[in-house]
Amino acid sequence: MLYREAINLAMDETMSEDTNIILLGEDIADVGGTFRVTEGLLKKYGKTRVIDTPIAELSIVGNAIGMAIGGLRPVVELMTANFSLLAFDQIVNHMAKLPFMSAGKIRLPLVLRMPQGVSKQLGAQHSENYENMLSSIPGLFVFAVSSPNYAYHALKKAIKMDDPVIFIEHELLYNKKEEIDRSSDLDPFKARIIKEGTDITIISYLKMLDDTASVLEEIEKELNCSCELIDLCSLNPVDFKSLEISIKKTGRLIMIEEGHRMGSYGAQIISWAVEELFYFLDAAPLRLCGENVPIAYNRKLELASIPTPKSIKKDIINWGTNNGL
Amino acid sequence: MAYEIFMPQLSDSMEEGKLIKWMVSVNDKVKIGDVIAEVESDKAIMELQCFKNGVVTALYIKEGESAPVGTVIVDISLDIQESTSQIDEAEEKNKIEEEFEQVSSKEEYSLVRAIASPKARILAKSLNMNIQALQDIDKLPVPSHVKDIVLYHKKRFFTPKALSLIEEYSLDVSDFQVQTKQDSYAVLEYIKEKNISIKQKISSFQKALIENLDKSALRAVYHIYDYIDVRYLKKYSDYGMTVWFLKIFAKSMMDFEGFRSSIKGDFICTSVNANISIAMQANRKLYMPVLKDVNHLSLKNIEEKLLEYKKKVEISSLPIEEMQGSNLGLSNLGFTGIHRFDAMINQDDSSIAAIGASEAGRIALTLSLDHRLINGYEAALFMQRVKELCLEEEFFQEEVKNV
Repeated sequence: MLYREAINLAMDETMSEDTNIILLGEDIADVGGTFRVTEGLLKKYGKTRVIDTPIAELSIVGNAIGMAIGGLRPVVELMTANFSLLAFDQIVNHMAKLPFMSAGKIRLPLVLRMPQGVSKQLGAQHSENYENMLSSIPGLFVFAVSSPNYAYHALKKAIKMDDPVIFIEHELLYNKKEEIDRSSDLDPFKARIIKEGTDITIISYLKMLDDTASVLEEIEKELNCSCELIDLCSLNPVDFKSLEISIKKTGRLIMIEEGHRMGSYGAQIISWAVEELFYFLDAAPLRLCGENVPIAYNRKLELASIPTPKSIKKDIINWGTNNGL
Repeated sequence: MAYEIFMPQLSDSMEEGKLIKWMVSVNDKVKIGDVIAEVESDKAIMELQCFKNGVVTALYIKEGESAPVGTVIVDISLDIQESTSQIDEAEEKNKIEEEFEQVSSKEEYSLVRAIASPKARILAKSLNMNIQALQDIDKLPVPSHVKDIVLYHKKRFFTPKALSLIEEYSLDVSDFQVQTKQDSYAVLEYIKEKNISIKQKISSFQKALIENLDKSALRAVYHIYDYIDVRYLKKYSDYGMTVWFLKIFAKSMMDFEGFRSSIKGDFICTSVNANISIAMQANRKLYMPVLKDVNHLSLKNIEEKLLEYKKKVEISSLPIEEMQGSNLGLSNLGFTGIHRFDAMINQDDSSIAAIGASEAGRIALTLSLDHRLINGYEAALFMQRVKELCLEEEFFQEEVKNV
């Protein structure tokens, strides 16, 4: 099953169980979504439950918050994370804070889905990663969706939760294929160990996870070591317990992400590791991120500004050789 | 040398472009980055740049005209002199970059502030090791990591023999509270004292064997027991017992198709020929190489094939294909003097024959059978057939003659 089909299935299954669940977004009904995620749902659930909105993100999120207060369970699609900036007042000042400011009297069962990241030549205004900003807002749960199986289970859980969830997808993952295990009960807050290892803990999420996995074997061969690759899954809250077990075992930490280096999400993971696990570290952690530049339209420049399988391999091998591996 | 500039594709849906304005004319000198023209795509007007130095020799379309994506619209002749200077420039740039890299990598090392990783420091402390002092006399690298501390500790306090014991028993060196050098005797004492067992990783070969045995153990197996007369087996002893048994079983198998069958998914597959696997062991490993079409092989052929397998088994170079496709197994432990035993059915085989030592003119033969393929009556008839063949002197004469 494809990543986008898994997301679609999760919404379809929950919508058929609960008529309070409604979808909102730009071009999600008639067109079936810019990335074909909501395909077929209009026909099945009608235009009162699958709603095409105007191009006005602040109003989309504002309406969704109102609906959630009124008892509905809206699932919003923002066309890209870049456009979430237009809705930031609603997201930060209302969505995240209302349950707190009402002392829990208002619950917001609301999911905000948004794809982000560097795709193929979509230009500076459509290629940003905002998980760092979104996960720094108290009151929001933030999931980073790296695989179809996680997408299916995490979205179902997110829709059923009574708290606001930011559900971050990646534009280049919509056609990723994986068999989903519908019978299992997946905990969306738990980090997933993709591959076990003993010498280096590598933490990543979204597309960088796949890029890292594609060169992992070569890195292990070159450095003659074994790497543990972890999909972080939940960016807020973080499954620090799983990370701690892994880092105590390996003594080495690498964080790989696509966003800009300055203020990157991984910086806080590394900060936590150094604060809490200093005496278990056998080398200074390594953080691989995008450059501090807006993403260029030119394909070569675009690739030069983010980690690629090639650069990940080179950087990790350099770091390993200079740090006693 | 000519350099051609094509109508570029400026958007995914653009098929042709309209030339709005030429920014150069024929005979103009152009250099890298110069704007040549303004082109209108289906979305916007964009500038068309030149990527080489040269002189414009021809403009193929007029302002206001359109051209399909990919057609040549400008010809530029490249000035040779200028292009060589370009190479020089590139070389210069590379050189500067190299120098820069050298400088920055040097700086990286001088920037190291800690002399050992936090984890290495903790370990060194527990081992009573002074990192600073050891680094001063170049016994430890700067910075030191856990690996360096362990390596130094090992070399300092353990003899090479002791180290190889530590490796063999996967011991942790930090378990030894040492002040003096430890030899292999001390390590052995430790092993005995703590009653540590040796750990060896299961090889892929052993893994496959274990999987096969696990599968075999799940089968519906029963046994039948009897004795066979050895008078002719002994009389015609130019060929070994195993060779004769292979021949006798192959001949009997041709009369009982259950013995040539195996279950594969929803099918029972029956071979046309008798394929027999034979148990061989070397270096504590069990192999079951397969002799194919034994019913068509002469005694001589069988003898040669057995010898070939024996050699391959001894150097562990038996390819997987030569261990597949059998219907019946044969295990002969007669040479050890054992009286009677029963064997595990191998892989997809229907049965296995276990042959004991010859005693008072007879040999104990045990058949272990897969009840899904062969019922008790069939098995008894098969056993009968084997016994009869052992008493037919014409059969022995015939086979020897056939060689």
